Amino acid sequence: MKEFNDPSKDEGYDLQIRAYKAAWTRCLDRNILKALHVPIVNDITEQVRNAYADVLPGLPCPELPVVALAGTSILDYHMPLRHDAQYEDVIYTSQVHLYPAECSSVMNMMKVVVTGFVDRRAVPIDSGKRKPTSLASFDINLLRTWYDAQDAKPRLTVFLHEFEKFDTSVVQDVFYICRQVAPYMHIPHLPLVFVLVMSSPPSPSFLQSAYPRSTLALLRVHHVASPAGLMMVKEVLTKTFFDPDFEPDIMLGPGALEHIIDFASRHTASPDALVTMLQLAHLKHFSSNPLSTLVHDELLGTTLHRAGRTLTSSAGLALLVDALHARLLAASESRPQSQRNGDARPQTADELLAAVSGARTVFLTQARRLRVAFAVARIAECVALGEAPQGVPSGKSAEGRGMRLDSMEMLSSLLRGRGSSQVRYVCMANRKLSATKLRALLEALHSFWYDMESATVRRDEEDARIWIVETLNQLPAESEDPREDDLPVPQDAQTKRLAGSVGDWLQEYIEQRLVRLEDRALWDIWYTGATPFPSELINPAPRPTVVHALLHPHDFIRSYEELTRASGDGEHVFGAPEEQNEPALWELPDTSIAFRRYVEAGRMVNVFDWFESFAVVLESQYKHLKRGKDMQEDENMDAGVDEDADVDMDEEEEEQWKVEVQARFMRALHELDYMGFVRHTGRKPDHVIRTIYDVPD
Amino acid sequence: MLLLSYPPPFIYVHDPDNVRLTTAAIRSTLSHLVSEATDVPNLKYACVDAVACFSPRILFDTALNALAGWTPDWRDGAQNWEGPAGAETRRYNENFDAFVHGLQAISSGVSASTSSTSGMGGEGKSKARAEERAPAGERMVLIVERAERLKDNLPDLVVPLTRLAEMSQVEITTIFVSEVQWQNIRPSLRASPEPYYIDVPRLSKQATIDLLASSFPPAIPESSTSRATHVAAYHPSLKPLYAHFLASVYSICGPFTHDPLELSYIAAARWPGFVQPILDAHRQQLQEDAESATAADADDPDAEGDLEDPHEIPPVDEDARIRLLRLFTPSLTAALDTLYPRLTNAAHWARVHAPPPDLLTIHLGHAPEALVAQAAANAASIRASAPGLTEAGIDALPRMAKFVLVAAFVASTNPARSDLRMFGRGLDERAKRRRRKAGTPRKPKPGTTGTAVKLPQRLLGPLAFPLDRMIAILGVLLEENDADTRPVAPQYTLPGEYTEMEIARVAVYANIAELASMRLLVRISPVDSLDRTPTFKCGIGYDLATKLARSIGIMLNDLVYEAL
Repeated sequence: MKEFNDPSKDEGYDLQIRAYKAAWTRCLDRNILKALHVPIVNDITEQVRNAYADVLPGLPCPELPVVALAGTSILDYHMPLRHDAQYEDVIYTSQVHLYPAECSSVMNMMKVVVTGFVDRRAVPIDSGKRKPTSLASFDINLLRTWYDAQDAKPRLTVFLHEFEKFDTSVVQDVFYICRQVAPYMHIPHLPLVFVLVMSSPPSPSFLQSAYPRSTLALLRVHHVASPAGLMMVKEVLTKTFFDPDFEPDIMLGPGALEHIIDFASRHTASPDALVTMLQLAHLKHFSSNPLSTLVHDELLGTTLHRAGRTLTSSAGLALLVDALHARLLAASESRPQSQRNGDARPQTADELLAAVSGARTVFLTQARRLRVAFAVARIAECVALGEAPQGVPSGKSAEGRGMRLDSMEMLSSLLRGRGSSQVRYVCMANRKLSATKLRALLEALHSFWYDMESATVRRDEEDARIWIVETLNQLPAESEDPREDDLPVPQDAQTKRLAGSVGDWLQEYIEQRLVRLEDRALWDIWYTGATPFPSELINPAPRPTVVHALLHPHDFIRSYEELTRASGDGEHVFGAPEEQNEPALWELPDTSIAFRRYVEAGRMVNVFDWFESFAVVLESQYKHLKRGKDMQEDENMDAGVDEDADVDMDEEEEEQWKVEVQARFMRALHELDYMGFVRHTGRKPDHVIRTIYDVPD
Repeated sequence: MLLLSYPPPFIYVHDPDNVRLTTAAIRSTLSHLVSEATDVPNLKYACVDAVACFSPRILFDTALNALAGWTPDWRDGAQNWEGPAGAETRRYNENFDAFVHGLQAISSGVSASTSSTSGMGGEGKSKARAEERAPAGERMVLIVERAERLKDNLPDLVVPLTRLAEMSQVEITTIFVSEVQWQNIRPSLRASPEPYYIDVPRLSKQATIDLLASSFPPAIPESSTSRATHVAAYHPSLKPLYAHFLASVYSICGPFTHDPLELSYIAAARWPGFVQPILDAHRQQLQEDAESATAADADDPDAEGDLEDPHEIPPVDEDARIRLLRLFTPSLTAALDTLYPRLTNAAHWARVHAPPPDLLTIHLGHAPEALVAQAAANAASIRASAPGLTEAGIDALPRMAKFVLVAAFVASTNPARSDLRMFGRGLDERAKRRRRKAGTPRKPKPGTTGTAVKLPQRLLGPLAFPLDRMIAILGVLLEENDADTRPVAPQYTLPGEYTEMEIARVAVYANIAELASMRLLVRISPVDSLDRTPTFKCGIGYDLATKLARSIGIMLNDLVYEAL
């Protein structure tokens, strides 16, 4: 589909980007992260509110209450802010947010703290600008006077974001100063509470390792860990793409999901990284696939009756129309003969759009059914096999036993159609359930089907709901014996029969719905499928890439050309792409020539020798070029020129050439220096040290 | 402390152990002196903290406001003391000169006001204190706490402050309180006068215990809602028991810390739990009494008067006391372990280690177990009540960070020259390495035993290593232990090429930077020097490294040069 990658040319690209924005905003608005953080935020709020109400009596000296929030990052900065608003009527909290950059010294940090509170709300009596005879703006006493003048005694909360990056000596002193004004034994002073936002894990504690005991003794640290890591990633992915109550505009395929999961478990599981990756996946989908314009509707940014006309009239969208025709043809041909008789190929633009609309309905229904089935399967598994063990099994152990449906790896393999064995296993387990567990299962399913929010899904699952009610009615009345669940309870005949039928029904139900989404027509509008994730954008390897680029510049130039050819008007590609053989040394750019020579040198490079060897290459380059030009001239002018003339230069030319070579060498050297391949040594004149040694060829 | 009759102009109080306590003592003595107006009439004092006063302006403001008895009010723009009433307002915080003027203004202003009043109040004094009736009848004291920080924060002020009386020509005494000796602060060239030294001796055991016992907190008002503590825990009638309790705290924690503040911190954490059984028993007793009383009520409606005050807790008998002390001794050690390094805070600890109800009724033999079990249950319930607080810890680190940490540990423990032997992978390097491991460990040469025992690097602490070396080790580790779990990448054909790319990825470096900010890796080289290879040290210990290595399937012992 390369020929459609023509984004900048027309409104098609515009539409794509608009569609992308809508889809991404919708995806981002899920606010799962926020929901995940609610308990933590509540906890923190509780801590802040009770910071001075709940002090252990008999302590020798006051302590500064500190809430150490571990394992979060930038994304949730403003959540406590929003959330605290609810409490504002109870105890009005006043907040200051500090960042490492503004706290380079004690004075700066105190200034931010004090002015942050003091200048927050202009007290009407405040004379505006303080005179030099008044308290300094970095004086804690100013804050105290301000606080004494307040009617509502607020809690003063200081948030230190990116706490690891603060200068420890500064923070130590600030803690010391603020501790001095902390309330003690019912003497009200400044009720300061510090909230430290850290990204490090709760143990081993950063506070313990970075701050001395004397500082820690001033604080009363309450540790709070935020839900980070893989659990959060799983939650977000599940709730976004596999929640029966939510329909993402774009369904991520196994390719992208696998990459995201792998990256999260291998490198970082921060919410930022996750959100960026999801966004990138969306962006890629919309920018690489012109059909994605049709994600939401087929109106193409116009009203319905004009859409068809737009489609046919606009030159830019002509390609889109072609692509649609081709895809629909392919889809109809792949279908069995019997079905194909009915539908003729859409002829007009409106018919075409109607076909897209039909395909959308089919696909979305399919995806919805898949989600519901997956949710049902997870419920069944949870009841039958118990809660999945928390934490992600490390690589090898996971392969030993069957993968749980509730595990993160399952998400992608499910979409690849590999989940059926576990589903079968779960259903088999369901057939052997005891009466109590069977009841639990049925009730869980019942509440699942009846509590779904989306009306469409509920209508869709009417059969299942009827079935579940019937089955529940068949279930024998709850037996009274308080036997333990984990004891193997012999199934009585009725339960056995019922459990068997439930298992069968579930298996049929689930397997019917767990189908590959790629089988639908025009699936790639709504589904990224197995297309790989652009991982190089998230996690590039700069140094090998640069080295490789220097060694094989033409490959890079060519691929760059390919990338940009679409945007430009298909400019002349540097070097013929068909030419597969390695270009000779003289054909390379100067920097590459210098780098080649560098690679061949020893640990220390004598710059003069380097220059000499560089000059040799340039010499041959000059000859080659000259010869090439002369040959051209020969052809053009039909005049015989003696062969030696091209090599010889007169003195002036030679002088000029030498200067040129030197200039070109200097430039190449500086470029390499700039890229960090050269380290200057103070010891040996005219020598530089190489910084990389094992260079692959 | 009552040196103040004929005070020297500069006193240096050196207390290596308990500066805070000494400072508090000085303050309270002074405030006592001030309040006892009969003794020294015009004593004024100001305490400034050298840490809090990181700029001269704050020091001047704080000192002058305190000496002048002025409280800045927010409503008039938080003005400082502006000189005596009637005089034109001046700015006294500009520089030291202005500060001296401020002192003089305070002095003269007060003397002006006292001279008007001294006619009435002066005759009553019995003791002849000439200087009080001297023209400069104001005596001022300026206390500088943590004076050692003056040297860093305000080096220009050390000399003027020590010569304050001389410069301002008012009667002012400067007291430096510090935990380091004057020699370490003294400006060069004898610019400061010799101070009057006071060295505070270390507190003896009995003195410490007495001190702590004397600070038995006043009874908490009933209104305060404290979750952790029984309201009656600090009932005055429990004071004798508290003294015994303190003696036992001291005997256990004494070898580790003499600091009364630390001891009382631990005591504060343990005491509520310690007395709870007694309070429980007392409550039960009360209940029984009440029941019997209600039973008796029917017979004798006038019996209420006999009931003692229900809040009065009877003294604890010897037997119960010894039993309690024995029961709680192990937990005191535990408290020292966690509270002294502040691994948790006292309130939290007290909540976790609250004893089971009615401990005294539990059989003697089972009580310790009951105590431990209760602590575990408390911890679990607290964890459950705080949602989302998972004990993730180091397991939550991403996989690559674990590899980096293990590589860093190896790089920090092994000498660099052993790298090729440990990690050089030729054709049959692995087999060779195994053989070397299996061979006998190097024995010390017969003659040299004892004299040159080489300590294992593990005990000597981590070595610094350049980043490149760690990355290289990381490459080997990844190649051998991680290659199977990576997603397939058909574009890499050469053996090791994939790993080579992996270790050059941005995310790896991001992980290293992140770990360094968490202090799991300690950066040795300065952050701002871009020219050099950064060097690091490993910030984790052997146990943690082993745990990490096991979680990613590396046999750490095979990789460490001096294996255990």
